[in-house]
Amino acid sequence: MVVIPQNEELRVGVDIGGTFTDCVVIGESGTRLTVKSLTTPDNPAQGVIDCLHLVAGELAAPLADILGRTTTFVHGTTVGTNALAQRRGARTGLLMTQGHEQTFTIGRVKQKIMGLSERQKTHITHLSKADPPIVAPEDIRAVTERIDFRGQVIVDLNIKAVEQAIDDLVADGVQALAVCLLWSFVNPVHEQRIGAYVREHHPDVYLSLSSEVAPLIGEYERSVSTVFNSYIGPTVGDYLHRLETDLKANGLTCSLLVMQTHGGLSTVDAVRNRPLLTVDSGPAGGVLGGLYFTELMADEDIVCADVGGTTFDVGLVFKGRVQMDPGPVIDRYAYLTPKIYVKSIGAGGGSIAWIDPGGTLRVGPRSAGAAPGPACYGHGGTEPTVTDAHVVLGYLDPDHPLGGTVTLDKTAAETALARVAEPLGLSISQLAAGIVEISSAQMADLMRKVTVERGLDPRSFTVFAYGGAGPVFAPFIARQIGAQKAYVPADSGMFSALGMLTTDMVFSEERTIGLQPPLGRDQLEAVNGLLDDLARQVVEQFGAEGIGPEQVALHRVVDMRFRMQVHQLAIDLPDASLTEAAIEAVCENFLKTYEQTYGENSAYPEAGMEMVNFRVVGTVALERPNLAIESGGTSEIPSRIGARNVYFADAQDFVPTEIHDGKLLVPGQTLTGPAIVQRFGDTVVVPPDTRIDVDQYGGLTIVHLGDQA
Amino acid sequence: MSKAPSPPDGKPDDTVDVITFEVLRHRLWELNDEMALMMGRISGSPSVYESGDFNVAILTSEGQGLYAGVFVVRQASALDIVVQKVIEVFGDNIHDGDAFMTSDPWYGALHAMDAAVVMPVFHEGVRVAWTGVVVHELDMGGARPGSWCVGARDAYQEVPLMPPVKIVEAGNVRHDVEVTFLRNSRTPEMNALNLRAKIASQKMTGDRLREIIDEYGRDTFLAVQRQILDYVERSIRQRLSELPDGTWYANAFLDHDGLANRLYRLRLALTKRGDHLTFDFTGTDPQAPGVINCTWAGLVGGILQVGFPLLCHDLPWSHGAVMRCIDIISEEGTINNALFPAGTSMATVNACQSTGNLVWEAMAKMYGCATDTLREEVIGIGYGGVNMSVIAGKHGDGRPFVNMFTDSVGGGGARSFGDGIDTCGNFIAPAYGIPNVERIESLIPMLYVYRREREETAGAGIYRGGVGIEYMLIPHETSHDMEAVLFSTGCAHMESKGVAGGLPGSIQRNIVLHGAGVKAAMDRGEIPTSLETAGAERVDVVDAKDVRWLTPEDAWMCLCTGGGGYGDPLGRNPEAVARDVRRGLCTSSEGKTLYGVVLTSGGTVDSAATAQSRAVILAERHKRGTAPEAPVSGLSFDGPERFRVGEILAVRDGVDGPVLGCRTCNHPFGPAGEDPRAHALVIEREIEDLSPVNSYRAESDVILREFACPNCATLFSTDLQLRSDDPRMPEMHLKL
Repeated sequence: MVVIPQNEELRVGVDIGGTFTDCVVIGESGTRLTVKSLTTPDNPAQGVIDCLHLVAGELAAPLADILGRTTTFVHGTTVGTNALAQRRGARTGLLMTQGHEQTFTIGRVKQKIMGLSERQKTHITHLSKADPPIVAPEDIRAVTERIDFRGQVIVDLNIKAVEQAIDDLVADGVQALAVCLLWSFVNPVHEQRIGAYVREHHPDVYLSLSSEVAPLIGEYERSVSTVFNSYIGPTVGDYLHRLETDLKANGLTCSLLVMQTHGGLSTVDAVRNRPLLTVDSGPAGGVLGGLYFTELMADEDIVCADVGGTTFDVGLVFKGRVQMDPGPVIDRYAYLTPKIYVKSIGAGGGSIAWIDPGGTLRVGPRSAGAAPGPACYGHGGTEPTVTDAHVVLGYLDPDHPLGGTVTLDKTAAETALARVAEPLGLSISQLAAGIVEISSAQMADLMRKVTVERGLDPRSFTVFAYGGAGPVFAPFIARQIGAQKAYVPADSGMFSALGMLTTDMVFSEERTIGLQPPLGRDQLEAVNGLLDDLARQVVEQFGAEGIGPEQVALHRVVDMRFRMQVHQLAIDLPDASLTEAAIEAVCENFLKTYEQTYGENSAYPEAGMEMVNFRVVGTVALERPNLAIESGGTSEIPSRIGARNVYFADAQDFVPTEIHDGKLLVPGQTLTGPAIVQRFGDTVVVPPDTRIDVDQYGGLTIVHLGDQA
Repeated sequence: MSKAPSPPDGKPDDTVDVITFEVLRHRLWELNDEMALMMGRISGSPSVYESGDFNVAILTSEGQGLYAGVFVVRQASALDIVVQKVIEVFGDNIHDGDAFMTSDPWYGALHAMDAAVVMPVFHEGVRVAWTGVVVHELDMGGARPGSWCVGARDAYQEVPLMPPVKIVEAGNVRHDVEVTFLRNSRTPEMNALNLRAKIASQKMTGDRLREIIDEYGRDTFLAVQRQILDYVERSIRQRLSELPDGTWYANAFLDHDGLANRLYRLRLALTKRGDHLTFDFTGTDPQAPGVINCTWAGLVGGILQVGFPLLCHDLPWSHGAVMRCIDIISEEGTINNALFPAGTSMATVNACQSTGNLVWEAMAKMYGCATDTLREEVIGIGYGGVNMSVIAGKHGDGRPFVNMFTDSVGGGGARSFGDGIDTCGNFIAPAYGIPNVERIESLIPMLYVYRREREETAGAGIYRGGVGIEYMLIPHETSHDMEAVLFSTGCAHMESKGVAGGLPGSIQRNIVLHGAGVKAAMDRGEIPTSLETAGAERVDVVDAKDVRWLTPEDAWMCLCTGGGGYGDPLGRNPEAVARDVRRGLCTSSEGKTLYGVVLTSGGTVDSAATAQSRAVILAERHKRGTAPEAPVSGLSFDGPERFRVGEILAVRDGVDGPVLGCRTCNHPFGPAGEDPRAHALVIEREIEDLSPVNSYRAESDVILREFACPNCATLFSTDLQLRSDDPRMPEMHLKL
């Protein structure tokens, strides 16, 4: 039982996932409590309150007292993501420049393959564009107006016709509007006029203008961002409003901070205008937690491996920075928004092993999912899964229920495995070991791809594994990619919720103005003016939260590229007003960074450089939580709680293996494989030839000994 | 530990275990994908990133393709030929650290713009594999921007070809070769970047392959290669063996050879026996005097660009394995097996693409006889050829520009389970995308008037084809004239044929509006969204391959074909027609004439009027059609069904053997081995009657022939034929 002293201030992180709502509470002394409750999809706010009641129960204090002591309350929500995935957002009308109103539907043609794996792309007779589309083609209206690339008005806005179109859409039941006109990021005048009409005459209709949501070049992706924002706007807004009201009614006094997809936290009011920033923010929490650990451990480069039941997510922290996604995609829709890079494949504990018509053993991509789940769950699953293999090999203990709830049926696992093992002429344990090898190899292949496509060597990274099944895979994946070590944090099953407590408040504004250096006097003036504008917008947003400009650290960035090349790189700008000399230095830095990133001789300076997007990021640093643990056990109570036979591929047999209780491990303690560490929510496998070191944060470093010996 | 399934022909048992096999099968496949990623990363080229106009492959030490990337499929399949030719030409002079390059269609390039670079992979002095990368370069020189040599008569008038040369020797780039390669191009820097990227990405892949050898051993690595080929071969053979035996026929036209509007015809008889396929192109027209021919490399590429997705939709795209399961019969000197010095600069989008269209058509007919999920792979032909433009000119301040317009995309073919994809693009390049209007307007002095989905382009059917795109541009902020190289196929006939009784999509066209009314309309506050609303002093429907100068007062419009339909259009759900009309993808007039669907003024289905209108169309078919010469007698069609043939026909057991007939009305056609068209009601239609768009078609004698059950008049097949053709030229002969 965790005891957080009664007078301590608390930080609370709540992360809603597909199945569970996770909650992490950290006291000033670093004492941590983690709680899980079932997600309540119809009313997710209820799941959050349920979870907090569990916390109150565990800490034996009234909820009002817990919330009253809370100084930081951080929340990650999938409400927006789910509304998109399940098409449960607001009916949205889209207004685009006449002649280009089908941009959203055409989806640059590529929509049919966006976000698909190479394996899915090969089935070309079965490709399809987003189905059903987020906006019905009937709800798209043409706006008679045209602005050119310089921002000159070529055709005046026919405002009367637009007003009529808007009135018709609203009368027909449209609940939200998105406006995306060509070149509006250069000259937003027409979008603003339309916006003014909507705000005046239809104040209840949720409105997004592309020149506000994503003022960036590229009308298709900009229209998707704008549509997403409107489509989920009412849902996310209602949800957060309700949650904040509930929390305040229960005694919360600090403001509710919301996790954003770029890694910063925002307030409820700000998110209601830009709900887009919460879409797919869940995986960001884990990567941010990874970033924080690299700071704590001075271990620069990690590859994050989040292994769940059905999904395997990979993220990167390189040279102390998270990597941003240059082209995020959701459900075939490519869009524009600053977002932490996370690559996913369907792989995990639920992946099914099968024999294909060519006679080859395959693992996944089909998954037993939550229902029926692996055969060992006893919910009717008959096909063998990765989790069944873990049980048969002795990695998971049938008598040590997962997360305290699910008991495992070893016989059912064996029966399922036998069906596939027999035709291949393998024993059950050979097959199980093969399944683990194949699935870890697939995960390693994805991690290799993620690093190699950035020109990085996967062997120089530490595998940072979390998620329910991360720890059981960690040593195998590390070995497959040739990494020297893997790290498994404490509370790995709730690591995303924890990660959210390690980041800052961030507001950022950006806009495209295409410029080709060297810049003339007028252009310099324009850029400086733009940067000042963006900075003012950022500062105003903080101001609305009662945060004065003196607390805000502003950082200015430009996305640059070579003309005729497509890669954009974010290059830092100096804080002072830009001069010719400053621009020259920025260009030099771009050229250098480009060659570092894409390889020697990859630049094409002859074509000239382009400055594309300018961005101002404002950060208000929050105090980092203390994650050091009071030693969980003491050296007097040995952590060893038993032994059993566990199969390891190198030995090609079951070998006697010590079992340890994670709670009783002591910082500084070392265990040599073969060993198994059973923790509350997960199991860490320590194969022969590896060693684990327990650190002061309760995390375990898994070191492969083979190469050092 | 168990071995992976061993080859069926009983080769020595040096196979690796199932688990190692699966681990490496997956890893090599990913490695091939990574080579493509690296290629794009280093080159940064829009042709690689935005259009995906490139491909990569990993091959065995003898040049049998193991994995091809999911980009422009035909480019990768031709890499086998490149490697095999390099081995033939260089023999012992192939060493560790070498790389070879060619742009010669008689050595495996598809046309001169596809510069292929291949590299051997050595391990401790032993050649263990090859890698290859091809990119379509924006320009390789020659008479026209983009190197599409409209007007050239033969290879001597086109871009100079480069037979295989050693571009990298012992790890060092040969600069004499590099400068020769770059000398003639209008885009030398971009080509240079692509060349570096081709070399660097392959170097890296070679290193990665050696890592696998270090980890698993060379013997395992080589054995896995053999097993991948065996595995893919076995899977394909398994798939084929479940289909009935028979021969399926296809024919395709190709219009305009770059010199004159002349029709060429390509033919295919696809025979399946047991678990083997024979592609017989005998009867295809001789090579053309212009630039539309392809060589053997294009013929193989044309087959595999369709064969990979249809035979290997869930398997690695292994050229080496597919080639074991097929034979190719083709006469030398024909348009898709041309001999030097045939012109080939438009090979990819002409003879090579038409070869692919033949394969789509024949395989759709074959898969229409499948009893299992292969029926779901039946698909009409989509945007097949090409309909685009390269425009070169000057900005207002005199800076030059060249742009290849990659916006042209047609609709996808209809599937046996659903409509084709609207504005789909060409399936042989699945990752192909069109640029944002804002991107192009920021680069060149032109303005997009509109870019939209075009009604009246889709092929009708139970499931319709996807609609094509239409777009219009005007010069903007420049006073200079611009040179437009315009090149298309499918102007005199339709490329996108329907399947199982579905109708073809429309023709496609480039049209120049001289003295266009666009700017005047914009000044009035209007935006034209069609040829009609734009207006022009003179509408210039240009030839399928042509060159024009655009003045600042002109406009250029491009209209692309929709996909072919699936099944008799009278079988389409009227609600789907109403929805399409509501969404502007179909006009109410199309709804009436093609589908027999009558809508009320409010746009809802008038069921009674629709039933009546459909009955009238069926009666018309009987009235206008030609009945079969010898009506069958003494056969009944009520036995147990063996398999379906297309949508409405089937083979059922009869007293004296299997019988072919119509499932809709149980009318027997004849013994199952006879061609269904011999027993059909044949109806002729002018292609202008199918779509108003077809009124722009170039002159030809092509007509649509529909083949229907002589009893119930439901369509089971359609074909585009010359008026003078024997209408009953065969569709299929089953051998049961």
